[in-house]
Order: sequence, then C-alpha cells, then structure tokens
Amino acid sequence: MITAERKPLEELLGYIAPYSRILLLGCNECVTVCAAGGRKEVGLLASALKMAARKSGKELQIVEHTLERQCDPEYVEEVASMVAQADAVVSMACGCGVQQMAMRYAKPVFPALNTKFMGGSERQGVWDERCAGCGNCLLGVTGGICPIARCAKRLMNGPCGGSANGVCEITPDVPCAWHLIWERLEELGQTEDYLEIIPAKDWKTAQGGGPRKIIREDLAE
Amino acid sequence: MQKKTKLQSNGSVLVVGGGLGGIRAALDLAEARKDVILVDKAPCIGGLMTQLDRTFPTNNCDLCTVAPFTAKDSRGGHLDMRGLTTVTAVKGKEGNFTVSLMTAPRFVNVEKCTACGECQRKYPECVSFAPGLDPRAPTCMRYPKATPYAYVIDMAKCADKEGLKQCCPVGAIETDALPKVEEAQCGSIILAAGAALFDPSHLDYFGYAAQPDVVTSLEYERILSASGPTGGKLLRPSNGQPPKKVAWIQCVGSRGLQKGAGAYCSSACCMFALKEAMVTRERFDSEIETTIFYMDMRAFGKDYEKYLNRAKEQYGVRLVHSRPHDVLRPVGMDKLQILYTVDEAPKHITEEFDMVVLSTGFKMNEDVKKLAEDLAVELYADGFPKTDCFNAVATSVPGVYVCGTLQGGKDIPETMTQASAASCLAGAKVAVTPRPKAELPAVTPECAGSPRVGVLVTLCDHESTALDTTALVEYAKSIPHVVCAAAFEAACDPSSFDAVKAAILANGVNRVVVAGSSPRYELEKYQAMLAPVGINKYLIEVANIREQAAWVHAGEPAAANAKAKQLVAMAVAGVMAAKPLADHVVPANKNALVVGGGVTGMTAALELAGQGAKVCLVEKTAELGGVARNLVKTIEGGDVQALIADLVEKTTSHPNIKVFTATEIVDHSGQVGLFRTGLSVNGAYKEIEHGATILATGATPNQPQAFLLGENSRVCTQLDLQKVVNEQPKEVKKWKNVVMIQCVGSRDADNPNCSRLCCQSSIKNALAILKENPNARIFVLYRDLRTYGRFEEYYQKARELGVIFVRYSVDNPPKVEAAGHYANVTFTDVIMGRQVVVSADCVGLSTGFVASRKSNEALAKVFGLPLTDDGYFAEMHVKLRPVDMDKAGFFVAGCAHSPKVIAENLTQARAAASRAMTVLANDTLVQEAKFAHVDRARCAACLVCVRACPFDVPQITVDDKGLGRSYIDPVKCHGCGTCAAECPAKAIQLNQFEDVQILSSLDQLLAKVNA
Repeated sequence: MITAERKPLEELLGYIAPYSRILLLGCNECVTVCAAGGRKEVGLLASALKMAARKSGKELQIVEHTLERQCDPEYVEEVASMVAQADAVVSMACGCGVQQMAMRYAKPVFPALNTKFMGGSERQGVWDERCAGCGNCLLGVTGGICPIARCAKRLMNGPCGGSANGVCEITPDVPCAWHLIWERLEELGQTEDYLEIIPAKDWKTAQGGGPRKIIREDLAE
Repeated sequence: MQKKTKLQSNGSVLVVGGGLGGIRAALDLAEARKDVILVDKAPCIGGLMTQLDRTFPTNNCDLCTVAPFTAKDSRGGHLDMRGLTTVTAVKGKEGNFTVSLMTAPRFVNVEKCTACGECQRKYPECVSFAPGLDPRAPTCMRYPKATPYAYVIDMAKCADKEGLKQCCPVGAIETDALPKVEEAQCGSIILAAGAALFDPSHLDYFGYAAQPDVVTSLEYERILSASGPTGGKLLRPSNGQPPKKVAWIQCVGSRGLQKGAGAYCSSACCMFALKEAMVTRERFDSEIETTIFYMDMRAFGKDYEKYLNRAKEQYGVRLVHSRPHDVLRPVGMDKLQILYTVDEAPKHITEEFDMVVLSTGFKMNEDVKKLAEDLAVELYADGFPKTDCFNAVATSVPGVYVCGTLQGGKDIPETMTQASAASCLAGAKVAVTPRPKAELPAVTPECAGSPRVGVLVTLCDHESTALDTTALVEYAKSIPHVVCAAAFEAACDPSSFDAVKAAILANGVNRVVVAGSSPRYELEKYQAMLAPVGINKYLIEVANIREQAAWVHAGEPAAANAKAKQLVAMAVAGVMAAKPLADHVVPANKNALVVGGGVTGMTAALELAGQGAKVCLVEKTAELGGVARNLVKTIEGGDVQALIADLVEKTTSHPNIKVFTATEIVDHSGQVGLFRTGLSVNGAYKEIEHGATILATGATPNQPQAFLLGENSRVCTQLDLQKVVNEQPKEVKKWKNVVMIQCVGSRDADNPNCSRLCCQSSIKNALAILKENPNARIFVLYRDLRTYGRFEEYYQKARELGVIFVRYSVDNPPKVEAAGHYANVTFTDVIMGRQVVVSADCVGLSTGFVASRKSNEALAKVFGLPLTDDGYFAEMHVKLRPVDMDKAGFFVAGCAHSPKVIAENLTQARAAASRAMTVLANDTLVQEAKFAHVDRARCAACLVCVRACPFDVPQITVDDKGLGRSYIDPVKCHGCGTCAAECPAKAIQLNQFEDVQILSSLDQLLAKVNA
C-alpha cells in the first residue's frame, strides 16, 4: 500500500488562501487504510480549514467528497460537476491521485498529503517501508527481506560497519536489514545464499532510467 | 440444611424491610417473575443506606445507582410495595403462610400527590426532614428521590388540619384516613428489616450525651451528606465551625466492650470509619487531621486491604492502636480531650480533638425481634436469629429467611449477597406468575413519515425554580417541525400525562423530545410511557434541562433559561435526524452453565436445578468437592465432609443436572440468553447452549516460601494442621508449645489482600488442639485479628482458654529456625518489650488463599471477563452488584470472587443462582437495535474495526460480489461504538448514535457561528 501523512494545516491554508470554494477530495483506497485521506480525515480536515478560515474572518465553502480511487480516470470523471462549482481542489489522495485530478481538470489541484512510501502495516496505526519499487526484485535471494528499502545504504552484500547488535547506526529504532536477512536465512537453513555475491545493481529499472511505464499489450488498446 | 419442598405454591413472597437488602431480594424475585410484597414501616423505601453519605470502597454516593431500580415504573407487575406497613400476625407454614398486614395512614393519597412541595412551603415548620440530627417534621420526604415519590404527614403533630388539607393543589391530603388491615397468602417470608444501631448515651466516659461534638458514625454521615442538616458542610455541632482534628473510636457497642454491647464484631465499622476519614480529607479539607483509635483494623473484604493502605498512605489517615478510656471537655475549653495509652510506651496521653466520632456497631432491632419471636424463629441471646451453619440465610423455621444486618452486622455487598441468596430460597417456594409483557415499539409507517416533533417539558416547579417552563414551551413551539409542545408534571401525575398522550395523537406526532433530567435516568421510562401512543423508542430524545440548566445555573435564571432553550433545540435537531429502529425478540435459552464443581458450584447448580433450570456442571478435575475436601469441620462444628457427600449425592442424582468432570472450557460465543460454550470432556469436544453462566472456580491454597514451610517437618499450614489434629490426636497430646503465625503470604507486596478466613481458621485449630490437649501452650502471632461477626466470640473463648495472642508488626516479623526436634520461633512481645523464643512442637502458618491466576486468566480470556489486579474475577459493582459480572448473564460465586469461609461461599452460590434465575425466567430475549452496521459500499476492508473492537466482533467477509468487506454481527455487537469512531472510511455507524444525529444537534447549537 502507498502510505501518506497529512500536511501541516498552515501549508494547506497557504495554498487555498486565494480561493473561497474548495472541493476536498478523499480516496477510499490506500490513504483510507493508512488513515490519511479517507472519509473520516476528509471530515476532520474540512472542519479544521473552516475553523481556521473563520478565525481569520474569511468565508470558506468546502464540499467534501471521497472517491473510490483517485488514480483512475473513470472515478475522477465522477466529480466533474463538483469541480465546476469549485475554485480549487484539495486532494487527500497520494501523489498519483493528485496528478490524475490535475491532468483531468483545468483548476488548481493542491495536495493535502505528503506521500511517503510503499509499506506494510506493522500493527494498528504503525506502517513501515518495505518496498522501494526498484523494478528488479531481489527478495528471492535475501530471505524475503529487502536490502534496498530497508538498508539505509541500499547495500547488496552484507552489512556495513555501522551494524551493531542488530541495529543500524542511523538510529536504534531501525533494525539492520542485513542482520535480519542473516537471521532469516539461518532460520530457513539457506545461509549459503548469503555467500552468493550479488553483482552491482542496474538502477535503470528503478528511477535511474527515467519515468517508468508498464504496457500490457494484451490489455492495452 | 433445610428440607426443600418440591411443590411450588402460588402466592407471593413477603419481604419485610425495604432497605437495600429488602429491595434487592424483592427485585430479584420480581425479575424472576415471582410475585412479591415488600413492606416497610417507614413511609418510603431505602432504609439506612439513604442516610449514608458515600460508601466504601468506591467512595461514591450510591443513591443514584439505586434510585432508578426502585423507581415507580421499573418493576413490572410483580412487586407490590407498601410503606408504613407492619406485619401484625403470621399463621400457617412454609408454602402457605397467611400474613396480616397493617398499613398506617399516610394522610397523603400517593396516587394524587405530585410531590410538589406546596404543603411544605405553606407549613414552614414542616419544611424538611433530615434523619439523624433533625427532629421529625409532620410532613416529610426522607431523601430527594424518595419512593413512593410522595409526602407523608404525622397527623399527631399537626395543629391546623383543615388548613393543611386545603393547601394541597391536587387534594391529595386526607386528614381523616384510617389504618388499613389486609391479609396476604405467602409461600415464604424474607426478613430484611435491618438492625438497630448501638446507642452510646449511657456510656458517660465517651461524653456522647453531654458533648455535642461527640457524634455517632451515622450522625457524622448525615453531617457529611449533601441532603443532611448542614447541607453538606462539615461543621462542628457545638459552634458551627469547621473542625481541624477529628477522631474515631472503634468498637463502640461491639466486641463485648461496653455495657450493653454485643459480643460479636459488627464487621462494617472499621471500613466506614476509614471511609469517613478519607472523605473528610478528600472532600472537605486535606488539612483536617483524622485519627482512628482501633483494636484490630478489620479490612477483610475483597480488596479492602488495599483501601486500608490507600487510607494510610495516600490520604494520611492516622491509625492508633489503642482503646481510649475517656473523652472529656474540661470546663471552659472549646475542644475535646481523648485520654489513651499506646503499646509502645506505658504512659498516659492526652490529645485534643474538635470532634469525636463513635463507630457504633449494630444491635438487634426490638421490633424485628418481636416479629421473629412471633414467627417462632430461634434467636441468640443477643436477639439475632440463629441460622444454619451452612446456610446463613435460613432460620430455624422452614420458609422463613433472613438477610442483611438483621442476620448480623455486615456491609452492603454482603447484605446484597445474602438478599439474593434469601430470594433464591424463598423464590423456590412460589411459582412463576405469568404477567403480560409490555409491547415492543414497532416501526410503523407513521414514525417513518416526515418528522412531526412533540416537545414535552416535564420539570416539576420545585426542581426548577430557575426555569420558566411556560416560556420554554412557547419557544419549543417556534422551532420548525415542532407540531406541539406541552408541560406536564413528570411521571408522578398520571392525569397530566393522559393529556400529553392525547396531544401526541391529535397532532400526529412521530418524534418526541422530553425536556427533563438525565437521559440515563429517564430515557427508558419515557420509552415505555410513549410506546402505547406509537412513538418508536429510538425516536425519543431527552434534553437534560434539570442538571445542565436548572441546577448548574441555579442562581442565574437568564442563563439557565437560555441554555434550556438551546438544549431543547439541539435535541429537536437530533431527533429529526434519528431513524426508527426495531428491537428483535428471540427465544431465550433457559439452561445454565456452572463452572467449578466445588461446594459453591454444586450448591449453585442444585438451587438452579431445584427451580427447574437444566444445569451443566463443569469440573476441571476428575472429582467433585474442590478445596473443601481438605477441610474437616467449620469453626461452628459443621461437618464439611458430610456436606460434600450430601452435595455430591444430590448433584449427581438430580435429573436436571449434568455433571462433566475432567472437563475444560475451550471456546465461547453469544450473548446473555443465547450462549454457546465448547467443552473438552476428557479430551473430546462438545458444545453446549445456555442462557446464563455461573463461575465458581474457587481459589488456590497458598504455599509461600516462608518460615521454613516445606523444609521443616514441624512447620505446616493451617490446612495441614487441621488434618493432624483430626487424624493424629495422640501426637497432639504430646505437644507442649504450638505457635501460629498469621498473614503468611497475605497482606504483603506479592499478595496485598487479606485472605479473610485465616484468623478464624487458626482459632478453630487452637480450640481443637486445646480440646485434645488442654495443657498445650498456644501462641498466635498476628497483625490484626480479623474475627468479624460471630467469629469474635470464638476469639474471646480462645483467650479465655489461655491462647496467647501477640501482635507483630510487618517491619519486625517473627523468625522460625530449626532446632533439633523443635522449631524455634523468635518474636518480640510489644507489651513486655522484649524478644521471646518458643521451642514449638508445631508451627501453624496461616497461609490463606491466592487466586488461581493461570486458570482464571485462561477462563477470563475465553469468556471475555475482567479480573482484579490479583487475579480474582471482578464483579460488576463491588458494592451493589457483588455477584453479577460486567458481561450480562455471567455471575461469580465463592472463592473465585475472593477468599471466604464455606458458609459465605454457599450464600454467594445461592445469590448467584438467584441472579441467574432473573435471566433464566425469561422465555424471550429482547435484542436492542443498538448495534453498529457497515455500509459495505464504503468499506475499504482496512481492518481498523477488526483491530479496534474490544469484543472481536467485526470480521472481513466476502460478499456475493466476491469483495471482502467488514461484517458486524448484530447479535454479538455490544453497541460500544469504538469501531464507528475509528473507521477511516466512515463506513460504520452506530444505530441510535449516528454521526448525522450528533452533527445535527451540534449544527443547531453552533448555528449562530455558522450563519
């Protein structure tokens, strides 16, 4: 899932300062699940913006709506009439949703969230980064633990000298990915995988090759 | 034990006494659908409790907790309540008593009286009545929410009868009323008329009669009470000034200390003195010095030891181990002097105090004694009734039961337990009386139509002097969608309510706002009242204009009226957004599950089976009997093994009881009336269905690592010692010295609570040893000797027979060392001021009980029940619901609740059975529409509800389109609203509390800001 966090209220107030009719648009997918941009957050942000505006003597009209998914054109199409009635759109989707809106409508679209990473849920209210989208998955030889997303240095062949007692030198809260990989390989009886040298990674499949695109010939028309 | 009659006769149970015990017994019976007549000689019910300020160990005022249960409309058709009524004669026997009742004239027609207070205002001498310190006024209501909610007149004290009669606006005063004499047929009788309090007037050394600042505990309660003579201000009676130093003197009228005192311990006084001292410092002034002069601090109830520690450590209540011999006020002095000595120093201490509270104990009430004698109930010399040693509520007369302080001094939880136990036994003698049940609110086309709101303002004038009800009604009429508004005189004037009903029907009202008091208190009442005129119970909103407007802004009428209007407008907005909902009625399961096959579990099972319920009794071990199998006799001489044999025989042969031994509980689901529990019977899975559950899983005898226990053959526990005395009398005859050490493994850091039963068990063993070997020297080393109730008499007997009791302090505990053939016990004798070494033939350790923590935790997890900090099952309300549990349909009895002696366990077993019968008596079950529901189109299947639900109800299920969405089973949902609040997609709403209802109310409140 894509995770995100809401931007500070001041920043959002800055964006919408010139406008008085706002469409506040949530997304019922990833950002709902990570409690950043679902219906509940839309309601909370709308109230917060209205209160802040009223304090400064400004009249703000906010229409609240949440789309099933903001990164698909069909869903985005559904809000055409609402966008027509608004001066600006504040999107509570991830960056994909914000751009989908911006591509479709000739109105200012502002992001309400900072999109963070592709992650998983550790427990209620806690998410951590698991995937960097490098385009060439190594998990098959690293015991199912990603050294790119979870090692601060993206090392390919074992830990650096900053690994101590299983934690990374950047902060004690971050476990050393290679320590985890070793433990996992031991558990699986696959420590010989560790001895395989992973050659230098070709980052072209990651962002090194510029913006990426997937075309499924069998599906695309 | 009493012989049970199998046949249930028709007729009622008579409950004599309308205090807490009588109310509990009567309500249990009424809820189990049996007819009850509750009589009290006072004009209204409530008894002693209504005069207390706050109660331990919660330090809450319990009046509000009790009042709704005694309110007029909450009792169904089974309870016939009569104030001012005494029993004049009883004929017949168990199953068929004929009782003569005489009701003294109230001079007020209860049906007409609206409790408006006009008679009080017109006759200023009749204004108020505060029991305890004020003289009785001719017209009185004992406490603000008295039941019946009407006044009473003492005609002998009224000079102007005609004037009094004329002043009543509804003509309720009947000056020429006569006593009413009636006869009633009763299957059984419960005496719950309470006890009298010891009157210390004759004890001149305490100065009670002469010194206004020497008061009894009850008088002190009245001084603290908001409804008391000082209006809730703590003031010295002598000069009206706040006191700076208050002292309590314990055991006044108890433990045979003074002239006229009972030989027993009154059991409750240590705790109420602690409470009064804590409340004094907490509520009035933390600078007030509070000192309690005590003999033994008897904090033996569940978690009471913690309360005692809190009093000492957190509240700084000073405890002095001493019996003061004089309370004086030298001429010309403003303060009182207490003269006393302490253990540590043989000198005379004089200390000054502003007030002295005498902790007066209980004694038999003379009126009650006379009634008991008329019934031929056997009494002790002190007048309290004799009861069976395994059945504390059964008297010598079959069919006549006792409970509460009438049976002996005790606190409220024990009173409640005995009351339920008495109702269990008394109820077994009478049949269920079918009564038509109230109709359920239907969702009719009318209520779903466009909103037509009726506003009812129900405040009585004397409750709301700050509010202008007429203006409020006019304002309500101006609110859009309000089609009618009217004021009426609460629930106490049926005729004015008839007019309201007519208005509702005439105007086609389909939603109602009641502007009254707390919805918690009143909503259910109005739901029942408005159901007959077709108002759906979920389309009624209560605006609390009493507490939130009239009371908090009592001095500012303008603010109070403005706020009342806002509250009404908010309620109208809320009720407009509400949806009509239907409750569901489903057939209820009438079987019971009893977990634990000890004496408690077997007794509970037998009582339930005797009343027709099918019972499943589950025991973990291969054998019935539990820990009691290790016991020989009770302190009274009751044969425990014979009891067990009898119970096992009856339990295993009863056609309604199925016993599963070597069985564990493995899973559980459902709700009250519809439980399903999975059992592992000798390893094989079996599922049973039941409507109620009683937990009687007992506790574990403690085996602490202390005083060479388990290392030295001379050292044993009291349980072992009892066996030795019974089985090896020859060995006992050889003993020269025996030392017993109390509180081993109790009242310490690991197990902070008192195990309650060890003091009496060491005295029981000491007496048994002396019987075999009168020359044995027995030392009991103790911290506080907690022989409450009649155990005190055995303590006195042990002292008379030469048992030496020596106090030790927790900082200086005794030492036990192996010394060849003996165990040497070294301890400090405080009075001699030196160390003593005793070479003991036997050292008996009072090790008490600990919770069976591991198995309790496992059971608590399966059933979803709370435990206390030390691992016992937690009851719903320590004071008023001692055997009910938080989860409806669950009850706890015996040592699973807290350690106690067998008779007390059996009383609790019967109490739990009685409470369970209130559930099992119902053929059907109403499932309220108050549950959460999921809008599956909105659900993002994010798992937040699954993780947040405290009861594990939501599940992600696949719907017919193959989409995984949250599903909340309405039968399992507790309606707590946690998931609705957490749902990030706003896909979950809680019926009756939907966002739109709450937001509509808020929008209305904040309309000005929005505009």
